[in-house]
Amino acid sequence: MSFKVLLKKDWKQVSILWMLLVFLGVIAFTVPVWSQMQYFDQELRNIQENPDEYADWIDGDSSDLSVQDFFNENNGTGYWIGDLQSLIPMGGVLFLFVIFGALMASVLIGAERNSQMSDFTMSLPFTRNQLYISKWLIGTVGIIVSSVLGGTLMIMMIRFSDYAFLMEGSTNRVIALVVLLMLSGISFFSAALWMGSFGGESISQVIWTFIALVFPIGLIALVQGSVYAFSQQYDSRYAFFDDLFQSTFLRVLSPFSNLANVDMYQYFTNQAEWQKFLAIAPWSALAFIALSFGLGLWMFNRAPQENNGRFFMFSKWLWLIHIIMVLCFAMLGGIVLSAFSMQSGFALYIVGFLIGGFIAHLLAKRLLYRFNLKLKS
Amino acid sequence: MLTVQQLSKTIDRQQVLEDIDFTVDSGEIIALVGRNGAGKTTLLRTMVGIIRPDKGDVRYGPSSIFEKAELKRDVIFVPDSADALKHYTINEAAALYESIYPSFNRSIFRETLTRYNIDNKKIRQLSKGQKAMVTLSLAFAVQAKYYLLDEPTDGLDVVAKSDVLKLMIAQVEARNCSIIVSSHQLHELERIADRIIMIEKGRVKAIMSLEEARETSVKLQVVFNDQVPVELLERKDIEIINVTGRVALFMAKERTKELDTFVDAHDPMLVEEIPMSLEDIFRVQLGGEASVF
Repeated sequence: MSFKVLLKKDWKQVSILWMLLVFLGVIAFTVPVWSQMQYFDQELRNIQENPDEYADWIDGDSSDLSVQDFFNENNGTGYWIGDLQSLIPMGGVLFLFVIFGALMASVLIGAERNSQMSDFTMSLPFTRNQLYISKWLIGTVGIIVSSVLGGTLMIMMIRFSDYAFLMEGSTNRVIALVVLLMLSGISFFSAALWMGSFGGESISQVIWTFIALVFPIGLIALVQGSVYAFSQQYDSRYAFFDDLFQSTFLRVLSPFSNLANVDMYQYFTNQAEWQKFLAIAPWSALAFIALSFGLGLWMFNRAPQENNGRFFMFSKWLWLIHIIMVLCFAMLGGIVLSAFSMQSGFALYIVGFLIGGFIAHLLAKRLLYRFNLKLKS
Repeated sequence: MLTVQQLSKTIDRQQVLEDIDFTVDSGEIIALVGRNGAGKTTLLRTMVGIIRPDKGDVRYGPSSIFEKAELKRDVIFVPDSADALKHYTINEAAALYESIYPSFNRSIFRETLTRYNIDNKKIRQLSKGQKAMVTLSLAFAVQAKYYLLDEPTDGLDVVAKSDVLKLMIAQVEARNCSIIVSSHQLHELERIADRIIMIEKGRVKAIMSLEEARETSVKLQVVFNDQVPVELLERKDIEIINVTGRVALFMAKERTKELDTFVDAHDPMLVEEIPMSLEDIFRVQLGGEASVF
């Protein structure tokens, strides 16, 4: 049976968001570039009109300063206001992909679970694998189209502007960065879809998505904070966790960590950083996509459909979520309380740990179990 | 043949289905009856693979419906509301069904819509009766072998109910398909059902034809010479429907000689057996209250 049928059905649900993603993707890739160029132009005019004010930084007569001179490494002015790295709108595009990844995934799975659409879908002559793959494909293609269109327009804008020289010899790096943004977008979407495989309705799915994106970095930060609270010094154990933040392991588990570890200041200028980028960043993103897609597919297949509407569909595993929640809040409580002491905060940490853990336990009982049933009803 | 084998399901530590066993032959209409929460909807949802059973299987021919999803082209589940397709227009829904089910016959679908004067608009804009007709027409236009209908006449007016029932009967007559219908509208099921499956607390209490059910239980109107005997009113094996003066109307779960002897012993003026409706059988077998309906 044609796979197009499922795509057609999913398209009906997500078409407005999909088209909005592509449109806003083009905006997010291009408008910041245009406005950054306007900013460069303005700065250049300022220097040309007020050469005296810039005499300390720019050698010679700056009243006829060219664009190339403006970004001349020896002058320093270009460095001061940024160059190619400040033209690439990483933040806006990532924000868009996080928001739309979560929205599309929650419409494709969570909203289905909210209504009878989920029953209808599951009663169709398709396997759950086919259903999940179709949903993943439609969102992923949206992010690819958005990135390819937006990225291409962005590169063309730079290429045909006065600032084209900034990209000379760096076109591949700009393309690689667009590809990384695209892979990160797919990562966010894959993670959000995976959360829908066990989050029983759309709000739960969005909450789980937020938790999943923050969890790997947050957990390490909590353990590192706890270690510091005991010792009150930046020793080798503390450094171990610092290294962990930059490790490939965490870059695979967290798309945010993968992006944060790209040194944008050196990316366009340092060959070693470029080589390191090529060796780690795209592969980490691909590994995360494979991991989240695989786990999502596996859990979507096994999710008990009768638990639709619940915060967490695998109710047999609620105890594990409960324990993790209590541990995390307990560590947070310990860290916060021990911050009041300048010396080793062992006692305060334990008190904070117990208070945080107890409050988290009460919260978990109320939110995880009662909320779980309330959503169902 | 569709075979349900030892189907069991536990939800929230409650046994919702327990060892459900039955077969569905071609061309029969089976009424699935039981009190609210007995497990009827869960059974139908499990039979089409929406819910996975803890134990047991649903087999269509030699294959399990849980292993071969494509078998569901011949087993169509129609839920109690059209919410799933509410954002679709009728034509879009027909196109969707046509692309999913190669056997979908658009002219059959159009014919039904024309007969009931339903125009092409968004399904959410239709009346409840029209929604029911559209969802059933979509399902029947697939020309599948088995249909699992969950409360298809729930909340419909008398005319719409009658239309839905006519549509169901016409399908069975024309194509020899089978329908399993869950409903609380017992007086309607009574008119169309070949067999009844009674579900109680997730278990099959009885599978029988209406005639068999009528033979099992008995409804009597007895006129006594004197007061209605207290011993009759205190009997646990009967359900008193009404007592007016010397007249008692009651039902017994089982027709026994002991009951006949008991009634005769009180020297009644008149003993009349009243034909049992499905509603009577439901009440006496499953202990339902009138308010259930």
